[in-house]
This record gives sequence, structure tokens and C-alpha cells, in this order.
Amino acid sequence: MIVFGQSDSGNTNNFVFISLSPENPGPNENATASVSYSQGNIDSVNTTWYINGKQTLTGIGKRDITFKTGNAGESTTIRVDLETNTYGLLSKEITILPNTLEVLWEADTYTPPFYKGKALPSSQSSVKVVSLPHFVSGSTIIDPDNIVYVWKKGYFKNQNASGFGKTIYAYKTGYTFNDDEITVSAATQDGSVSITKIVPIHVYEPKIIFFENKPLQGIRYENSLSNTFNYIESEATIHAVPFFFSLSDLNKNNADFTWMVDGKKLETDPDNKTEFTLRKPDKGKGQYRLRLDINNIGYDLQTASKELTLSYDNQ
Amino acid sequence: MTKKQLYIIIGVIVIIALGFLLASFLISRQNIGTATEKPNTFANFFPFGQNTPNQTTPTNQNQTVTTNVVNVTEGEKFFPILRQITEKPTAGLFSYNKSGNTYVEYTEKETGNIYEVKMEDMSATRLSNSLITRVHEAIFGNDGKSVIMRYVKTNSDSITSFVLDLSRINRGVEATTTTPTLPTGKFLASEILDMKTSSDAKKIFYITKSGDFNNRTAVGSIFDFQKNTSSDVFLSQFSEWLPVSFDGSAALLQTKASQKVPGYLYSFTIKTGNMQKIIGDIKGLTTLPSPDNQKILYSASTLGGVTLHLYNRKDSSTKDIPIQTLPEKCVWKKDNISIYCAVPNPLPSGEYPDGWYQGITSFEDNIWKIDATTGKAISIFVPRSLTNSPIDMTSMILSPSEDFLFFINKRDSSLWAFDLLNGESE
Repeated sequence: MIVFGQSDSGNTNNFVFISLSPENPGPNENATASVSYSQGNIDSVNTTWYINGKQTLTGIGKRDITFKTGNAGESTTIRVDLETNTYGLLSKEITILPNTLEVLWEADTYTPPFYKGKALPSSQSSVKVVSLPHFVSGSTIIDPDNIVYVWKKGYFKNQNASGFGKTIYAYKTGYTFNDDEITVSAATQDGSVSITKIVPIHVYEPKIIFFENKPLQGIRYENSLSNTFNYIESEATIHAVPFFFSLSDLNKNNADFTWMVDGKKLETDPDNKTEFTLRKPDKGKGQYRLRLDINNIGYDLQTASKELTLSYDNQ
Repeated sequence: MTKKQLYIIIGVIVIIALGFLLASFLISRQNIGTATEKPNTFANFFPFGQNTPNQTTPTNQNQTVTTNVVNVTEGEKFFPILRQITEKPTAGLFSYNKSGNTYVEYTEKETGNIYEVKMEDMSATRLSNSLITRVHEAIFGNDGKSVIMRYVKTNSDSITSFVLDLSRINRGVEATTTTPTLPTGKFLASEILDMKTSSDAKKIFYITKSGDFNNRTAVGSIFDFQKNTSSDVFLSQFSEWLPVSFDGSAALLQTKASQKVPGYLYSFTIKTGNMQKIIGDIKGLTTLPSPDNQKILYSASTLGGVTLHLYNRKDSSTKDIPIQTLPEKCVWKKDNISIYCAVPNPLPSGEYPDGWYQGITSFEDNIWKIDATTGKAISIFVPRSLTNSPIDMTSMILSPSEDFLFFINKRDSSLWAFDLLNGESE
């Protein structure tokens, strides 16, 4: 958002100042303009507000006015007149031109098909930050490729990622689970429009969630298996979802999936690492403990474990 | 009066009383369980016990709610206001009116078979017998003349979207085992992440992504059911978009949500290619636009819960709605004013919406109604008053005449209906 310098017609008008809330209103956003008067009590002054030249509010002590900004690139002019006893009519005008810079990011980590939630970054995962500028010059939308971007991670500018039309910035998160602070400054070539945004990106721990994979129904993503699974059929297929691991493909990857039953390691099908079908014992009643450890080779802190008790009763 | 006369009078009174009791018993037997069931369709239209009129049930909102539970008699048949339509998992549903009657049509997850149920007498008909197993979601469009079956190939994450032509099925006619009823169809692009039917149901807007991660782009496309063609209209270097509304000229695109990450909702105008932010910088943002797209019901994540709000695009105003639920558990009425919502009772402490999406948390819901003009919400029904099964409602739709509210119980994907005409207490 650009607020052009506050204009006035004489030095005495420097006694009047307009402030905005929010300070940088975006397009089509409600904002409040407030007037302050350094030489007296504003509450006793007759005040008249104009929005885009149209008188909108008048009265004694009318210090605030609420208005809605226009579309991106559409200017809104706010003028206020104060009828003071000492200095006569004082006037102040500001022009608001909402340009915007939105910044979105996504992580290259695993979530299951149809998952409506966001993939979260984990240790050493790839993240892509995308800038969405909406800059307008006159009535022309400026092509994002004609905008200059400066990208920083923390305090450090990334020279290669910065420049004309460099709308995206890709990086790998660190080992630790701290925030990465990404800064992008976008400016027109002539510098007439310039906006800076800072985006904190947190690093999360990956995790395993178990689901039942039913032969005809498919994987029951709607309900996870939490602590205990009770056999109803003679066998059950347990499907593990490795949430937020850096895995481009569920089965074709370098991650080590170790399945165990009561501490005994099971042989894993390399083409189907994420599932195990377990048959219910023919007789008796009891339970056993299924455990899965995932260690993503090449990603030191991308590890997770999950246990599930499978309970059966033939009596 | 002699003793003999007294005994005769008492005897007559006892016989008359016994006659009354017997008649009442026979009449009550006639009124229960007379629905027409066809073989191999539904196991239980009447899963509940005798209803109790005007039950009073406390809710988590510290209010006393009177649910006007009534027995509805239609002709000689008797139906509760809350009805379980299927026990088998349902992938998608669609409702229509025919000759003044409300029907619900649905796809079975395990077979891909399509059924219709006439709500007036709960008669059920299997319309198709073409086998598609493991259907994750079925999206009806084109006034019920098409359905998109979405499923994942075995041992892969690859999503297939197949459009079935339903125009040739005979509604009301039972499909036989020997005559496949759905021979024609068309595969859409692979890896369609999400899709939304247009408000007139003639088209869908869908998102695909392509390329390796750093160069990945999301493409938004429109599929026209009648022309049977797709065209690309949207390109973005950011790929985590969910279309939440599509009116044919603009799509509302929401970023995928997580409790700790700010989310955004944009309007994408197809003719101009213009993207305009509607709301944003809201952690855990999930949204449900009104039918006219002018109001947005949205939730925001808090520490351990969610808050619900209503944003009005006309004046950029926001109202706080005094219930805790996710917009995915709500449906707007056509008047753009009333909203029915399934509200967890109570909302378990957790990370939302992540925990619900991941299947970690399941809810037990009551049905509430919101007035978008005032922002007030009232409880209209407590399912526990009629069933012992906890219901976590999702995929809510209203029948065209808004006399029934249909939903899927996320716990087992069973299909249910709530009779609004008789069950909604104003």
C-alpha cells in the first residue's frame, strides 16, 4: 500500500495530521482515518470529511471516519477540513493507493491423497515461497515479471534468488525445529511502488498415523487407528501415512520402514513399505504390539515411530 | 344392587379395558415398520427405539434445548425425523425433486453402485451395477446426469477421476445383475487434487499440479459436463489451492489449512485472470461461501479449538458466530441467510482443522441453525435423543425444497437424513 505524502496548502496545515488504521489497508478493506490537531482540542473544532471529493461527515469533534478502500490500484482520496478559531480553515488530504504483496509458501513433504490440510515443513525439507504482487501503475497492472524482488533468509540476502521477475524462492529448512524468517521486498523498476513482507516458517516434526486399508473400501482416511485395533475380520491391513516426511513417492523412496511385532522385525515388501496385512490368530484371545519406525535416509532428523495394539478374541 | 350385579358390572369394565389395551397394541404394531424394503439394499430404516416427544437435552453450550421429536406418519408409513439411509459406506450424494417428492441418490464406496431413495416412503432402488471399487469420493453434477468417481490406484497415491454418464439410467427402475447400466464414461486428467461443482452444476472447476517441486505449477481447469471438454483457465506457482466455490465466472480459492499457518481466500475471475484476496492472514482458515458468494462462513484456529465467523463481502464486515465448528460441517440455505451446522458437543481440545482432517479426532454433533443476518445460532436437534450412535457429520447437502438435510457420518461413512419439516424447532 502506498500513502502519498500528506498535502496541504500552507505551513499552518502542518498542525493537522491524518493517521490510518490499519496503517496499510489493502484493497476493498475497511479502514479508519483519524485526524489530530496539534494546536488545540480537536473535540471542539468543526470538522468536515471528504472521500474522493464528496462530503461524507461533518460536525463538532468528528475526529474519525471509516471508509472502504478501492480495488488494488484504485486510489482513494481522504480530505479533512478543520474550522479553527486561531488559524481559520485548515485542510489536510491524503491519497491511498492499495497495492498488495501476498506471500504464500508450500513444503515438499508427504500428505495422503485427498488430504485437505497443509503439508508442513520438517527438518531439511524443501520449501518454496511464492510472492503474489498486485501492483498497479495508473490503470495498468504491472506484470510480476517486471518487478524486482529481493529475497532474504534471516539477515542474509540470497543473490541468486533475487532480481527481475524472481517471484519464487526455494530453500531447504535447517536441522532444528526453529522458525525460518523469509523476507521479500518487491519494487517497481522506478521505485514508485515498494512493499516488503516478512514470513516466519516453522519447522515441524514428521509423524506416522495408522489407518485401516479395507479390500473394497480402500484406505479409511476418515478415521485413524489410535491405540488399539480390534480384529473383526480374519485379517487386517494396516496402512501407515508418513505425514510431513520428504517423500516424493510413497513407496519409491530412500526411507527405511521397519515394521515389528512384539519387538520382532518383519520382512518388508520394498514395493509396498507402508502397509502390513496381519492375520488374526486362529484360536484364543490376546493382543500383540505392532510398531513402525521410519528413518528417512539423508534427512537426519526425519524420523518417527508409532505403535498400535492389535487385539483379538476367538472365544 | 346385589353382589352378583356388582361383579357383572366390574367384569364388563375389565373386559372393555382389556379390549382398549389390545386395540392400542394392534394399532401401534400397524404404525411401526411398514416401509417398503427391497432385498439387498438397506438393513435398517428404523434403527431407533420409540421416540419421545419434547425431550429436553442439555448441550455443551450451557443451554437447555428442546428438540421437538415427533413421529411422522405419511400415509400408513412411519418414519423418524432422523433416518439412517445406509449402513454401507457412502462416497457421495445428490438430492433432487421429482413429482413433488424428494429423492436422495448416492454412490456406494465399495462397489461404485448408485442407489436412489424416495424419502416419502423410503423405497430404495439400485440404479447401476457397474463395478468401481474403493471409491473415495463421488461428485454428482449436470443435474444428476453425471457423476465423477474419484479413487486411488492400489499401492499408489495416483488419483483417478472418471466421469460416468448417468443420462441413460432409468431412475426408479432397479438395475439387474445382467445388464450393466453405465457403459460410458470419460477419464479426466490424472492427479486432480480437488474439484468444485459450479452453482448451476453444469461444470466443475478442478486443480491439478505438474512439474518437480521447485518448478511446480497448479493448473485450474473447467470441465463442461454437456460439452464433455476441459479448458485450462488458471496457472499458479503456488499449488495448495482448494476451490470452495465456482459460479461459472469466478472461483473462490482457499489455501490448504493448518492450525499454525495463516490461510487465505481469493477470488479468481476467469475472464480477466484477476486474483483478489477476500480474507486472509487467519490461522487455520477454512471457508464456506454462501450460494451468492457474498458471505463467507469461516473458522479460525485457536489454541486447542476453533472460532467461527461470518464475513460479508458487501461491507467488509465480520460477525462472530457463537458456536465452535468447522465450515465443512455446514450448509447454506438458498436464501443466503440461514446456515445449518453440525456442532461438536463438546469440541474436544485439539489441533484443528488438522486433527479432524487426519482422522485423529472424531466428533459427536448436534445440529444448529445460524442466522447470517443477526449472527445468532440456535440448537435445533440433538441426535442422541434418537440414536446411540455418535454422528460426526460431513458432506452436508439440502434437498432442493430444503425439507431434508442429508449428511455422511464421517465415523463410518454411513448416509443419514434429518427431516427438517418435522424436526426443526423454530
